Amino acid sequence: MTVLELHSVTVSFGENVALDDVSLRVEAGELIAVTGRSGSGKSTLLNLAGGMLMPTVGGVVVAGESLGGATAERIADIRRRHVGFVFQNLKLLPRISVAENVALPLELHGTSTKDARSSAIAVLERLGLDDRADDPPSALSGGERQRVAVARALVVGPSLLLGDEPTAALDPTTAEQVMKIIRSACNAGAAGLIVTHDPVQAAWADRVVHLRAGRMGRTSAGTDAIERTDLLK
Amino acid sequence: MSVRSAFLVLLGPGPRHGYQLKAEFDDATGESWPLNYGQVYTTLQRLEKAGAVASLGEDEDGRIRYELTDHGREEAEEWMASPVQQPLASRDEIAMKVLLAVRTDPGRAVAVIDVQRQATMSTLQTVTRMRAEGGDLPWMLHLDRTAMLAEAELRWLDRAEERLDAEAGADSPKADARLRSTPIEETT
Repeated sequence: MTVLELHSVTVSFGENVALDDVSLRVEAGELIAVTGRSGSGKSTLLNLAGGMLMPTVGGVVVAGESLGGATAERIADIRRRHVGFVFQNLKLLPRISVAENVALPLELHGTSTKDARSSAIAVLERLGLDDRADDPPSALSGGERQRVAVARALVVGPSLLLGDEPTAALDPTTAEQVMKIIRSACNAGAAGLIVTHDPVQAAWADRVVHLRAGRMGRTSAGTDAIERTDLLK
Repeated sequence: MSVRSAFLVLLGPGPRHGYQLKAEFDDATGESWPLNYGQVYTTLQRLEKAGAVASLGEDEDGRIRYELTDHGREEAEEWMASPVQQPLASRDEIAMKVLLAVRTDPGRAVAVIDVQRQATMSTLQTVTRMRAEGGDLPWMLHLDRTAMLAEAELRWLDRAEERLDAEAGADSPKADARLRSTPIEETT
C-alpha cells in the first residue's frame, strides 16, 4: 500500500527552485532516506510530505488523500491521523513528565488521559524508557530525550513517519538505537521517510535517494547478504 | 599480510599441528580468508626451513606438531608490534576515475560520483542490515570495518561533489548545465 506519493513536484521560492520535478512513492513497511547537502532540497521535500508546504507544481498524496486543494483544517486532520514527526531539535514540553509528553498527541486526538497514558507507557516500554516515564525531560540524557521524541511520534500509530535529521547531535551508539527503533516501526508497517546528511544513518533505509540542487540523483537499495569470503577481497 | 605471520602468531600459545592451525586461522578470521591444506603445509615447511619453527615429530595419530623457535617468536612479536604502512596517496580506481573525469570532462565527474555513490551506498545498506542481525566477534569486527570504509568513501564522494560545484560556481549558467548533465533515474 502506498502511503506517500509525490507526483512531479516542483517548489519555487521566487526565482529559487528548491525542488525540481521530483517524484517519490513510499510504501507501507518501507523506510526511505533522502540524502544531500544543505540547500539540496531535503527539508523542502519533508515539509511537502508533512503538508507544511504546498508544491508550486505537482501533487502530494498522504494515505490516499490528496493534499492539493485541501483546507488547512483538512490537512491538519490528515496530519493528526496519519503522520508522526521526529525533529532534530526535539520539542518536548519541559514542565510535564516524559509520559505526559508522549501521551500529548493522543490527548489532542480526544483520547482520555488514562488511555493516553497507558498507550504512552506501552511505547516507552518498547523503547526501554518506561522507568523514566514520570521524570521531567530535563532529567534525561540527550539520547534518551531523542528516543522520547520518537516515542511521541509513534504513539499515534502513524502510517507515515517523518524524520528530519532524527539522529543529528547523537553519539554513534545512541544514533544506532534511534535508527533501530525507526527501522522496526517501519518493519511493523509504517512508511518512513527521513532526511539526513549522514550516510551511516541513511544506510538503515531500504532505498536511499540523493538530492542535488533540488533534483534527484540515483536511488540505491541493499543487495543480498555478503558472504564471509567476500569481505577481504 | 602473509599466512606466514598469522601462523607465527597462532603458534605463540604453544605447539600445534597443521590441521589445528588451519582451524584456528579460520575461526580467528571469521572464515573470511579460505586456506587450503596445501598452503598450510607449504607455509609450515618454509617456516621450518627459515628456522622460525621446529618440528616436534609425529604424534600418535601421525600428525607433525610444530613449535616456535626463539627466532620465530621474535618475528611474530615484531610483526604484531609494527604498524602497517598503508600507502597515503591512494591509487584506487574510484579516485582515478573521478580525477580523470575532472581532467577530460568535468561535467562527467558528477555523474561518475553519482554512479559510485549508488554502488557504495548499496554496500553500506547491506552491511548495516547484516550488522543489525549480529554475529560472532570476528564477523562483527569485519562488518564494522567494511561499513566504515564504505562510509569514508561516501563522505569523500560528497566532498568531491561539493568541491566540483564550488569550482564550477553555483550560480553560473555553466554550472547549471553541469547539474543538468547528471543522469536522472526513475525512482518509483
